[in-house]
Amino acid sequence: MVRINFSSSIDLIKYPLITSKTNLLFENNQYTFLVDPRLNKLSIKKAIEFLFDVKIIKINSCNLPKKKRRVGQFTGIKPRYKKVIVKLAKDNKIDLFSND
Amino acid sequence: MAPPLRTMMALCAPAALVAFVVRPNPGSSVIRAPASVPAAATSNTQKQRVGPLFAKPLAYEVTHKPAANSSIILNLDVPGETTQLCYDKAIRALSKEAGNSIPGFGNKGNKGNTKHPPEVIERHFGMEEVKGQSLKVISELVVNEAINSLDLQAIGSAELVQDISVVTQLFTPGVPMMLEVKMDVWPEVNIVKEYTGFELEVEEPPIDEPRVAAAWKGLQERNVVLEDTEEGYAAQLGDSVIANMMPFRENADGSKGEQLPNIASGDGVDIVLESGRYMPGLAEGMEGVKAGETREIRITFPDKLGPQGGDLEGTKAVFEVEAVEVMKRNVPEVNEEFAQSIREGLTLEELTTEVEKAVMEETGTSKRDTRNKAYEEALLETCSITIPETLIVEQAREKFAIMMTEFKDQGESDAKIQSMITKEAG
Repeated sequence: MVRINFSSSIDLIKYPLITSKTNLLFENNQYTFLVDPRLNKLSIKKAIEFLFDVKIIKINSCNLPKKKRRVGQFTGIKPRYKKVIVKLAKDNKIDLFSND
Repeated sequence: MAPPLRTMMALCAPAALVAFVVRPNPGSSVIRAPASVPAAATSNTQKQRVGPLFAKPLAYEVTHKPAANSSIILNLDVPGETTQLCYDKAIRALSKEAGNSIPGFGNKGNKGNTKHPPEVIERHFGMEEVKGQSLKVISELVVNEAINSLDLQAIGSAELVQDISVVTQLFTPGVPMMLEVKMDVWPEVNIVKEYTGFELEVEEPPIDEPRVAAAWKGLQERNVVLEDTEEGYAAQLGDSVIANMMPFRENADGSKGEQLPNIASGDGVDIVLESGRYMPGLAEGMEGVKAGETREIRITFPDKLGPQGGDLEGTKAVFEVEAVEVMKRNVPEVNEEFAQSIREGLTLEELTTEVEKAVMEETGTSKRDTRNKAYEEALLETCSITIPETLIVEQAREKFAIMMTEFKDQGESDAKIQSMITKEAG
């Protein structure tokens, strides 16, 4: 297992996922992100709590299936992500659409 | 990267970028959303957005003052609550329009029922579009409502006094705004002198003599009495011949060529011997024909034929005509007896009036119309009135449309009419 220090784990959180499905989860105060698969729940929790100044009470995560792409004769795999759904403590929120 | 993911990144770019590039201290205000900004993601605002938006009438205040050219200017004071409601409605409309087209939203199963957060709609369509749509909603629900409530006799459509792009810039959901709207109303009539009890002298419209004569002739023709003739009577001009007719194309050497189809052929055709009525030369060629006689008449078709003429223009042709019967046509004279024969109890004088009236109606110069027009002009002098632009434009459009229809009836090509319309519009 690669040892990842705290500072680099911030960069390994890629982006929030906004779809109809995750849109429904917003009402539950749950936010979905795609992160680097090397991160585990603990490091994810640390990173997101630090980034957005929120308190996380629960994390669900799953590794997304491989996506194969062929360029000419070579077959490769697209970057893989881990999907995490974080549940925030009451009165915590993340403004994903901030204009600042 | 697949398109949906990329778009998602774009959608969330501001938040993500700030968050990942800067490494702020926990609690920094750069990252934390200000409490006053309504976030779509929270349950509070969601609750506010669902439910009947327009159960109660929208709040607004309106004042109006008259302006030049029979128009008025409405000053609408739209409160923040109303702008917010209109914005919400606009978002809903756009969300419906977007349907499943925004990446990451919707699936094949729920056609058009996809719910989007307002921020997603804003980023997908652009803020300008959302604001424009909101203004549209305002114009539909607030401006029209205001106009109706004021009981103005409005004509045409209302227009913003300021430029639309400026107003769009000003619009912010939840912030009150002023709208200035200009529209035309029915003009007020100021009567400057007495408009009743005056007399007018109107000249009688001139009678179209040639047309009246033609009408008389037509009437006589319709009442012609055919009289049988004795055997061996030679037809004269003005008589009627019942004949079997067959046209042929004339060859260069003068002999009969192929048969000409379709035109002026058949058995038992009634030919009135009158020059100028049919092809030139036909009536003259028939002169002196007796019953039972067969003649070949050589004629040349005129250079210009009607729509049924086809390619026969200027063709030389031979008509084989077999006279079956020769009849005398007795054209009735115009007198009291003639009037009687048309309708029981009709005098010649009455008949003359009727004919003239019919001709006038046909040419559109009836006495009543002339009188009414004179009255119109006289009445116009008794009042002063400013006609709003809308009325003039409307009238002009109507006239133009009628003109175009006439052109079309006269057989102008569609393309030509189209070109005229664009020229006018430009």
